[in-house]
Amino acid sequence: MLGFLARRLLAAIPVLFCVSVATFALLYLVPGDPVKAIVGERASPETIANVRHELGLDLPLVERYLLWLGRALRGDLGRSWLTGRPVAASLAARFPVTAKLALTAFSFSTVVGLGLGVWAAVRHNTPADHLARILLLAVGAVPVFVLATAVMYVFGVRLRWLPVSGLGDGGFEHFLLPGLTLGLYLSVYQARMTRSVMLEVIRQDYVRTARAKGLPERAVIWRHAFRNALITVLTLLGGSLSNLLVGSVLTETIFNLPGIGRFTIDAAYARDFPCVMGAFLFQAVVFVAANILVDVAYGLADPRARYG
Amino acid sequence: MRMTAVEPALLEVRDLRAEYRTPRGRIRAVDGVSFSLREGRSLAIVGESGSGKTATALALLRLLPDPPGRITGGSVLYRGRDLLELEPEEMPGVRGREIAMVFQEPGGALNPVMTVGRQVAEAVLAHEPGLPPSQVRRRVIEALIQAGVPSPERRLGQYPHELSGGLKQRVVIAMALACRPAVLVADEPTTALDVTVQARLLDLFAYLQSRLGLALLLITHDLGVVARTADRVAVMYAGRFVETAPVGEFFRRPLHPYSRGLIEAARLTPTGGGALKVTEGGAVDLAHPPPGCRFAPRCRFGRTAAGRPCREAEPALTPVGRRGGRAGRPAAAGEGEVEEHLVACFLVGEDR
Amino acid sequence: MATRAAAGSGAGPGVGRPLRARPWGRRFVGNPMIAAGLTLLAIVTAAALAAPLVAPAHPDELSLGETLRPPGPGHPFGTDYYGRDVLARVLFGARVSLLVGLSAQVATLVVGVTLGVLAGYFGGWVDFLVMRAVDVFLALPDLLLAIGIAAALGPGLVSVLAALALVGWPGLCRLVRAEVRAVVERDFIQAARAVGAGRGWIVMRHVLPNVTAPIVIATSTGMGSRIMQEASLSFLGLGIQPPMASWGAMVHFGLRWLSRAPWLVIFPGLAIAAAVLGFNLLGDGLRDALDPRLRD
Repeated sequence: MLGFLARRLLAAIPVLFCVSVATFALLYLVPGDPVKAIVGERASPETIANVRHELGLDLPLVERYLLWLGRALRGDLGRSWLTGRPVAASLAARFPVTAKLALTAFSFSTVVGLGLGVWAAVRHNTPADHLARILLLAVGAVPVFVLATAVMYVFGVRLRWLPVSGLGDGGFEHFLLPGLTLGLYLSVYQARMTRSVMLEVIRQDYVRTARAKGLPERAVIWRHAFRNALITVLTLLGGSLSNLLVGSVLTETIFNLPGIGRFTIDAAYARDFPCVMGAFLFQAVVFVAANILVDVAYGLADPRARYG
Repeated sequence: MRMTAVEPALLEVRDLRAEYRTPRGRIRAVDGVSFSLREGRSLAIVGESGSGKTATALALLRLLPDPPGRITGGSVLYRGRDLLELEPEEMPGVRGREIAMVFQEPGGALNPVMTVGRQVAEAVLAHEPGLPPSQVRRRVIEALIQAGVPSPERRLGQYPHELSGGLKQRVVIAMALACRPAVLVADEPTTALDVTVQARLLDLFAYLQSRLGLALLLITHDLGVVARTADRVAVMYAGRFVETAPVGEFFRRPLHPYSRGLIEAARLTPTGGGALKVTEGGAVDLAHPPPGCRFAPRCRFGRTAAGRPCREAEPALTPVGRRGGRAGRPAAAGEGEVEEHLVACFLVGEDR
Repeated sequence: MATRAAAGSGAGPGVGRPLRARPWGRRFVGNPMIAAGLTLLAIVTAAALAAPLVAPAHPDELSLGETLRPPGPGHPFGTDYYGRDVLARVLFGARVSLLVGLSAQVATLVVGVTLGVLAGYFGGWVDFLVMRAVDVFLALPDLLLAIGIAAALGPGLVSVLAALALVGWPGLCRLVRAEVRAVVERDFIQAARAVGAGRGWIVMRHVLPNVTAPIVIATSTGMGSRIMQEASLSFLGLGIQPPMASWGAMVHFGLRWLSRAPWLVIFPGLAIAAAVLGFNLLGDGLRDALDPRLRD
């Protein structure tokens, strides 16, 4: 088990390395001179040189990368070009918001998504299943920000049940609508996947054996079919994580929550590169780490996977 | 017709019918099958793939996947009660406890993420939920021993993928026996196993029959297995029995052309002495069976027959006397006694 | 005595009727998903093509006397803050979305298929490099990557195209590589025994037919993703910039007026959903028709 874990971690390192290089390379896609973008075209050459030096932009490429990487590994992600505040601190401050949103959304989506998936699979080829499929297709085609807007309109504007904007006092009700929206968006993917995996599993011989043993149908479906389906669903959950990250960016924007996604967008729009790079790197690391966790969970759940 | 004094039938199937609904039409997989099974006795159903043997077995326990399968008629009387009349929720009580079933591929039959011990224990707990864990463990080990699984204590914590094919099959049998059922239905239990393992498994079946009084319904295409293990054999073709007889009598005097074809093919040695009178033609299209005897298109006699009803009417399963010749009226369903020989063919009794 | 009872040649229905009618025709025609998808796409395409003819007004035409009008005569979808006709903007937005989506998808195809074939066919270090690149790109969630690229290049049409292409190629590349590998491993051995030269030809002639079906399916669902991604980027303000009409941008600007003028968000939102749904339905339907392995 430990060997398995170690191997996975080792494999992640080159990927993270490449990600850091890619992040850093973003800077070089920028047309024109970033310094001039900050100080303006008409600044004097000395000012430009000073700012360039301050920002470390006068160093050769590789050195700059290593410097950045070194600092990043120590937790120093530089300072915002706009506000001067340390990027790492900003990220840390915003992380809880994103985390709460993600957790709410994920819990909701797992319950609804997996439940719907199993429900539809058990009723395969009946009108109920067809209805579920159509519903999933239709809802899945709606962009998350449109969903969010719709939810916002119905519950926030018309019914006025829940707050739609901002964090307010940080109370949980501010996370409810965004969480539900994001959760709804995620659950489509999860339901679809669970359904297709369950359909495969239900056909397996051991499900028939379980029935032949005299187990009640409920135990057959959940203890045997679902338990096996869950394993595959877990790995595919990785894809869900990607959706989660992406969706949270959009959701935070609409509902005006000061999370990491929002931070990234604002920085991107303002072309505040230390912030963009820092946020980028952070999210990439989180994503890779989450995938490793999923792999580990898979190893725990499926005894066959541990042997190689 | 001599009536032998017999124990009452444990399982009596009367005119069972089941179909599969496919895009090609309704396939009558089981088309009027009747037989009975007594304590300590065994019946082997023989036939090629597509003959309906597995469907029959599944239908007994109402395990036909629905859709596309469906039982359309007949009755399955277990100790006098018709299983087909029970509510669906009552079936789990019968499965495993009264009638247990073992399937063909042991590899897939076990849940890969559950330990062997747990799976067998599940079988016990499904029918005796109040049993304390120590008792359950004892029963599991008992079942494993009965099924001939070596070092049963070790197996408890093992996963299916750690066991060999033969061992897996035995575990599956242990699961089936755990609740001490009265009837065991085994669908091609030996097909996926190699020869030595097969032999041991058949010994196990013999033991279970004689020692535990288990009634065995064996489904197979392998005549060797039939000869070793069964008391009585029924040959199935296109959803129906075409011949039933006690095993010895069957091999001495196979009457139906299809049975004869099967036996002749089985008699060939690998080095092949003698020409194989291969029964030509493919399996019958069960969605649209031809009129008359279903075997007629492939029957070497049916084709050359002139003035014979083979192509017009369907022959019924009829008892045959000890020394050939017909015994009169067709057997009523359920009346076939253990010693009787029944054939569904118009040509029986005539000179060929 | 474990001999099998010989039971005649071959299983399967023998007597009477032919097995199946021409499978190809039936697979496509009878498939409701393909039909539904094509219908939706036809509507969207028609909207895009007919835009100049059908639109009540020019999409950029300001009409400050008619701001924020609800849907009604003269403006079936209402007007926005500048008095611009929403229906016109939705129709012209269809052009933008489809064109952008198509271009991005073409770029994805070119890069993804080429690299996939190269990696699958040559193997070795080519394969290794390409797959590492794929891994890196896939290590990041797609929108995040798009945001980064759009941030670097500055908002606008070009960065959207670049971003979408860079986001889309890894998935396709991996798919193509797998299919190519499957074929190469199968046929290569026989081909090697055959004429030494022309080996490449033989493989190509076998590879392409097998690869086409998954590519077609991936392209259809891919278009759905492109449109969704472009809309998301524009919504975030990083994509298509005003005054060009893009559905995503329309939602972005309409959000502010949600309580007073929800139609500013509803119609572009529905348009996006319709286009994406159309492509997804088509893709799913094609998958059912072309690859029975993946059937339920």
